Amino acid sequence: MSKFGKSHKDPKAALLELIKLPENQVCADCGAKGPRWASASIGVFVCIKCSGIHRNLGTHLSFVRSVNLDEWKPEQVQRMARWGNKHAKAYFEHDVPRAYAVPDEHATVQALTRWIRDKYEHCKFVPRGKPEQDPRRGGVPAGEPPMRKAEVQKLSSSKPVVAPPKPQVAPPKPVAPPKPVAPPKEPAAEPVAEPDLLDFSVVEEPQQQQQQQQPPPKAAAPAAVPQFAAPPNRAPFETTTATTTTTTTTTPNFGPQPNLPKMSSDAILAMYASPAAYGGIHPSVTPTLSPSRLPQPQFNNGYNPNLMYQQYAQQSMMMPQPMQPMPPMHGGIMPQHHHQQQVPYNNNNNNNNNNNNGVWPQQPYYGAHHPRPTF
Amino acid sequence: MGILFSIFSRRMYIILEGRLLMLGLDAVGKTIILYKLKLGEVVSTIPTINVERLTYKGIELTVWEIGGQDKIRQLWLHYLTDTHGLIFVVDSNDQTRLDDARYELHKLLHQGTNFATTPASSCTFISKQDLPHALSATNLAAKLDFASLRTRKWYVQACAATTGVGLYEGMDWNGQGARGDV
Repeated sequence: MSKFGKSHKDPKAALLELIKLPENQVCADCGAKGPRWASASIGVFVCIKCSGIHRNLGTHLSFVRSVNLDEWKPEQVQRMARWGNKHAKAYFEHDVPRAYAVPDEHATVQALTRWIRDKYEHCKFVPRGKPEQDPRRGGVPAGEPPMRKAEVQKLSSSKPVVAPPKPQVAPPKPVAPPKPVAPPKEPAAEPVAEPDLLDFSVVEEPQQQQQQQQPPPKAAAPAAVPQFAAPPNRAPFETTTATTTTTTTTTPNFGPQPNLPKMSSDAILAMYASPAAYGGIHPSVTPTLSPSRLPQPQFNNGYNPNLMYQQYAQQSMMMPQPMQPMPPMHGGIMPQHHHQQQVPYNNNNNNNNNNNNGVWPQQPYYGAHHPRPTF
Repeated sequence: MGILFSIFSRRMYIILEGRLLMLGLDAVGKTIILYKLKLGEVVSTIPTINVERLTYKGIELTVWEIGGQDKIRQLWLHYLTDTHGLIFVVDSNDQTRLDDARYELHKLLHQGTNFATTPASSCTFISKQDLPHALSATNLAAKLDFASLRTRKWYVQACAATTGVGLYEGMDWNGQGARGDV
């Protein structure tokens, strides 16, 4: 059975073995006995009070899990085994000044918060010049062999972001021979590839590099309108002001002209004979071409908004609408305005949405674009 | 006279009651949100189950707030009966567990048979917007696949619980949801 719990099938069982170690029997931050919570990213076992403060740091700094209540991944348990309270304290409390009041378990929450933030967020007490040993960067405690690359990538749950290469500081020679678990293949030429969790400016860089390396976007391949193409030596991503200044100073460079199909004169003439230009009644327009001439169900009491007003005016002048049939009476309620002349616009005052035009009974309004239900 | 006045005042101030349930993965800021609404201050929290009564704009809300650890998550379903609204909290800074959050939310909404019969609305607080790497609410709504929630009213509100930004906007929507206005 190795120290790192690889022989265990269940990571929880390995974790329960780990918490029995004497250094893990006390909280790494306040010293309370019997911690049941742990920071899976740092690798320390803490009490429930300190776990609350760890949670307030945010999951990018400390990812808190419960030993009892949470599921554990094998990689997380492996990190707990690699670090533990002993190694993590040796790293994070390396240079605590003597004047610093280290809180105990009876300290106030404010004092504990200050201590934990100094320790894990500001990293005040870590050994100088060894930021890459941080467990959140995939580091290993001093004296351990460095992790293999595949192991590091498995530990970083998100996509691997390539950090800028840092000089690998050789760990001090341990007294005990290094464990044969992770033999270093190329320790000098292999910087630890892990998202830089503390430096927020680092993570943005690879995306920008990727954007720079992208090929320039294709300049409006099948567009009908000829567009200005960018000069080829300019970077594809620039501000709009730069674009305008360069295009105005240089001669206008019309880009590759799209191959428009050659149109016959009849087709060009047919474009002018659109229904909008002739009120929709020009004889040269074939009715099948124009969608507005297609037979459409009449929803608005026969009022077609595509037709022009003159037609309706002629209709109403030449042949006025016949009178509406008398509706049946209901319970002595005599409907008013039941034989009103139909006009194309909405003239009833009761409901603006309804184009029922005062015809009784009122028809339900289903909306202009919805078909009426068939009963 | 006093009786008349008390009857009148009771008629005047109709007290609406609602029961809200606040859920989310662990360490997303549920307790901070709850006590920011209740007390107006940021408290230090430990992982627990909290119940608090709030009065917000004439609506008395009982907010049940339940931890998000893996074993407690299995109990979420049993708290769903007779809730008027669900507040689901998602940590916008923790992009690695967005899939977990989406899975838990959809599992909850699909499995909650008792919940499905009640007219419930779900408001999602996108917390920790003040931290770096925070995703926007629009981005998160797409990643949480809210578009597939056809039969349920939902609302996504970005917030930062430590400063209180966005909390009352979300509670406005929750209050309307409890009244049935939405």
